[in-house]
Amino acid sequence: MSKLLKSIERQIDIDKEIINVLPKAGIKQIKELQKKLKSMLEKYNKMNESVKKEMIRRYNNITGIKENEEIAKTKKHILELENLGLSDSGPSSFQKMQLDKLLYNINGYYKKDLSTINLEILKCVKKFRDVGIKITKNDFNISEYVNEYMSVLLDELVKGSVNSDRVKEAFDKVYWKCSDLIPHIIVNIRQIYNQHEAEIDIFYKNKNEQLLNQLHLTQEQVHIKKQETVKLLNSLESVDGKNILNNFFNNNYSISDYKDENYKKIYENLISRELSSLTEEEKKSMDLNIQNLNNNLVEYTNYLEFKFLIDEILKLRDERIKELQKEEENKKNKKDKKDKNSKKNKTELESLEQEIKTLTEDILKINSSMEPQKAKFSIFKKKEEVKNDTAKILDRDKKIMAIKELYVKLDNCKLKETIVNNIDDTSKLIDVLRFASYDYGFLARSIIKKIPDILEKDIHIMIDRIRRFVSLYDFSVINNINISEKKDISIVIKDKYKLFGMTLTKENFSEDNIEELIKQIQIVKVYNDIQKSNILLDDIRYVINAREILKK
Amino acid sequence: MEAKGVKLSSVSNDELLEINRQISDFLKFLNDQNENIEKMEAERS
Repeated sequence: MSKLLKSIERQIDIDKEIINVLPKAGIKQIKELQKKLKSMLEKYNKMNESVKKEMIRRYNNITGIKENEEIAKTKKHILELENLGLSDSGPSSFQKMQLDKLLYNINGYYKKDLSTINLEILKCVKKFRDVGIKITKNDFNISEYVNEYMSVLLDELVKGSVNSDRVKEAFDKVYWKCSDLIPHIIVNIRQIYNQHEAEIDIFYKNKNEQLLNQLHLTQEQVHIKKQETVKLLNSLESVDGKNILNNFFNNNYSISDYKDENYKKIYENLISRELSSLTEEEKKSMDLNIQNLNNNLVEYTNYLEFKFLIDEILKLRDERIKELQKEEENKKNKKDKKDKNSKKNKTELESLEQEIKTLTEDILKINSSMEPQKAKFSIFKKKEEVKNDTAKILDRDKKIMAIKELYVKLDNCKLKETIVNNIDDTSKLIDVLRFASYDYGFLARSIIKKIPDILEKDIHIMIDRIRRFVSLYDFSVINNINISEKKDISIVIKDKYKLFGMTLTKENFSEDNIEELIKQIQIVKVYNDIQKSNILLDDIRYVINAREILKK
Repeated sequence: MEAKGVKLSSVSNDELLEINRQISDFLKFLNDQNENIEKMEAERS
């Protein structure tokens, strides 16, 4: 204890005694006591002011710590790599354009307001323009309703007023004529995509080749570079004082966990020996093991959280394999390889595509059979003509809604087909998760299946988290386990670190205990990081306590 | 503020917080005493 603290304690004891012993019977004595109290209050308020001033000075000094400049540079570098526009070869052009996400959002129109839906529709238009397809109102030709509404919306887009009264009025007018306006727009956007799919595929292929030529890198090298940069960022952030302090401020870490004796207790439990018995080299090596175990546990918990997606993909794969086996058996039974029916079964995907194509052609034929002028001004038409057109429109609208349903089937069929083409028994768990991350509709449907009461905005947040995890995490476990291995990952992790001298049991990884294990490993890892950082644990403890006091 | 040559700026973080706690507690004690007397006086008059 410092001389100053001792002296203050003594002073307070003396002053307290004075107050206690001063007589308080008569008015004069009370007045005297009041005088004494006033002078003491003055003295201690002054002292209090000096203490608070010193507390604020230290607080500002510690919290004023600057973030390592390399962190911002590294973040910028990652962003540059992400914004290169280089696309992974896995997703389809439809997914690269994010039409899967946009159409999923538009499809949930009944949960949103018109201005949000308009923005999503216009984003689709922009996505086409980004890949060199300049679509105009004439492309929105699936029905006169879509054409009428999209003409106004695109007009207003040019004027920069997509939520103008004119747009609202147009929607109101068209909606009462066709309450399926939004589904019509969805079908129309898909039709535009189908029409230009080959061009769009070439656009992405050329763009990638061009970018890679400019960079003098291969796609794989860019991927490795990105992962290395993310790894560098993690290592910089983990020992950065500012970053560590923010983690305490944001309650990611709790200061009460970071006591020397707690660290020693956890460490000794982990290694089943006295911490002091480790040589400097052994301690260094064990610290590294703990850091790696922490990374593995973060990976493992994320894997557990997203495992339902892997399970769902593998379930669809099994289904498709069974279907293919059945088709093969049927083919054998018929002993006629040229049998038309077996050919039809084999190409379910093709027949769905053909069905959509035929229906679309029918629709366009019906549309052109109704002269636009007459369709608009039915007042000039004969009663019989009007009746005839109405019947045609009803038939056409039915066909549009049928196409919409067919697209759902087609997407499922395509997904299954892509799964069997891309995932085999040698695929790693990360390959399956990465594959799952491409398809927005699949992700959203699977998340809702797993968490039925999830909010719309939380679905988007979760999908972003999955995609970031898959593309940026420095994997070392699930990128090495084959889907056919059926291994218990927790045991794989446990066994590895047992070999490195850690006392880990299967129970540590049980549902009830894993959180505690993760917490303890994190405490040791972060404690070690703090020792390597430019901030003292004592200073962190001080600012956390002082912040509460200074708030008052 | 200093005692026997020890300046406030040179005490440890823990001690600074402890000094703050002691002074704040004593200030509260003094204020309570003061309030009690004021109440007594108000009652008397």
